Amino acid sequence: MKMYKPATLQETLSLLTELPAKKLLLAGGSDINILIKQDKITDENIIYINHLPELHGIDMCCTKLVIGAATTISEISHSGVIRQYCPFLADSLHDFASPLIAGFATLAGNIANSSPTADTVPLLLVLDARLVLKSLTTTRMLPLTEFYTGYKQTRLQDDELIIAVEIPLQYACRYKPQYIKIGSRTALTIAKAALAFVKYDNKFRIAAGSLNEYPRRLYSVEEYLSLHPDDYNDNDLLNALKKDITPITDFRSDKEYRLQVCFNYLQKFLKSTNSS
Amino acid sequence: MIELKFTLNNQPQTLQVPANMRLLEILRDQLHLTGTKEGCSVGECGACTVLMNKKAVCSCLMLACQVQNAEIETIEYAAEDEMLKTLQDSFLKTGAVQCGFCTPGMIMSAKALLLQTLQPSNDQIKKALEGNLCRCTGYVQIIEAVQLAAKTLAERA
Ligand SMILES: Cc1cc2nc3c(=O)[nH]c(=O)nc-3n(C[C@H](O)[C@H](O)[C@H](O)COP(=O)(O)OP(=O)(O)OC[C@H]3O[C@@H](n4cnc5c(N)ncnc54)[C@H](O)[C@@H]3O)c2cc1C
Ligand code: FES
Ligand code: FES
Repeated sequence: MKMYKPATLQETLSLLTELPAKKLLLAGGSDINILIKQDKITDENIIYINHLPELHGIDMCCTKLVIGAATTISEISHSGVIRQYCPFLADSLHDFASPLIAGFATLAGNIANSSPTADTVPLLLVLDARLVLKSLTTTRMLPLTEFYTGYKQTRLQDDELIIAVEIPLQYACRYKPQYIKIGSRTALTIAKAALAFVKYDNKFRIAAGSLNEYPRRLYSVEEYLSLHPDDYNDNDLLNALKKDITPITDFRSDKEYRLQVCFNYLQKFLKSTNSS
Repeated sequence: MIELKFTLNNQPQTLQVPANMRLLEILRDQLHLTGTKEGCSVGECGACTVLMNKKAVCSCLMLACQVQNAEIETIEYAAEDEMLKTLQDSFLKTGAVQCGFCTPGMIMSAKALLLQTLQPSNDQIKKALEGNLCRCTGYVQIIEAVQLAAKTLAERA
């Protein structure tokens, strides 16, 4: 294993282009450093990026919120700008890990680690968040909905890094999206199931975590509800949900519970939006 | 190997260490400061908590390259630092120490909280300590200890 600490973003992008595989970016390290300690990462070239100023900061830019890739979970949950424009995002991270982790775990680290349980992702999916990806020669925007392609598989190229996450403020963001994380306790818990939900202009945006190989939108449920916003029936809703999720049984929970708890919360969210 | 420069308990340090050596090992094995404990090594118990730039972090998850130029504080600083000393006294007075394995981490997390607010509510104390596990006390005395330290410091201020 060789470690690099490039002085600038430009140098980082050159390293990403020049170094042979296997290479790995290191931000907060709350996922990777455990693998290093357990000798599961041994021969990679590791590029440390957390000190790069271009990856930090939370800004309002016209109609979007731009969050630097290396912004920490605590910075997001305490940020005045986020509390003003996206308070539900700040609240949704209240039970992320513990303060000892949230103080250095980063947003892009959570997204790029590509865990099915990543807590920041379901809500960002319903908010239509986009990733800003940069390589030495290109800068491109990728909707978060298109980022994951399979278990721990993404469209991030070998020579790219995430430099920021953008949240458009004119759509879903205005309609109080909700996020629920089901764990065995509040602190230091990994979600057994998680659901993000928002309704606006009779459209629904719903995404789930821990219920598929990666966090994803529930398109069948969204479509069914957009056709039956006020006259949905539980049976059809459940059938649509079954098309969208593939819950498994593992040491955290079992598939029957995961399906049921997801369905219960879906109904609860629907009732809350119908009554308001 | 990298040349690692950082501030430890208000003293400058320069060490030659592998870039992927963990802060926990730097403290315990290189510098023989064994007040910081190793419990789970995966971020779940808080026994290894230190302050990094005034924030409580798990030293088992910090690599040398991440500590470059940082300000680190460990429980050994209780020998000089008023806030740490007061916390230590309060933990003893309220019976918040049994086996003591969690205590250094608890005190460092509590100091990070008191740096933010000298009048923490019960909920703020619970939140600040939620990453620190104690298998002996049941937490009640630990929360009392932090309240007592906050009160003592406020009276002195
Ligand atoms: C005790 C504990 C509790 C936890 N609890 C939770 C929890 O409640 N919810 C949750 O979702 N997660 C949790 N996690 C997982 C972890 O903390 C998060 O996934 C965290 O956000 C990762 O960020 P990091 O900066 O530490 O990532 P790192 O470990 O530095 O990196 C993770 C991955 O992201 C890649 N990466 C990092 N930055 C970039 C970038 N800018 N561009 C491209 N790729 C990048 C790295 O190459 C690596 O593959 C927990 C972890 C621990 C140890
Ligand atoms: S040893 Fe670091 S959190 Fe347990
Ligand atoms: S006093 Fe024994 S673990 Fe807390």
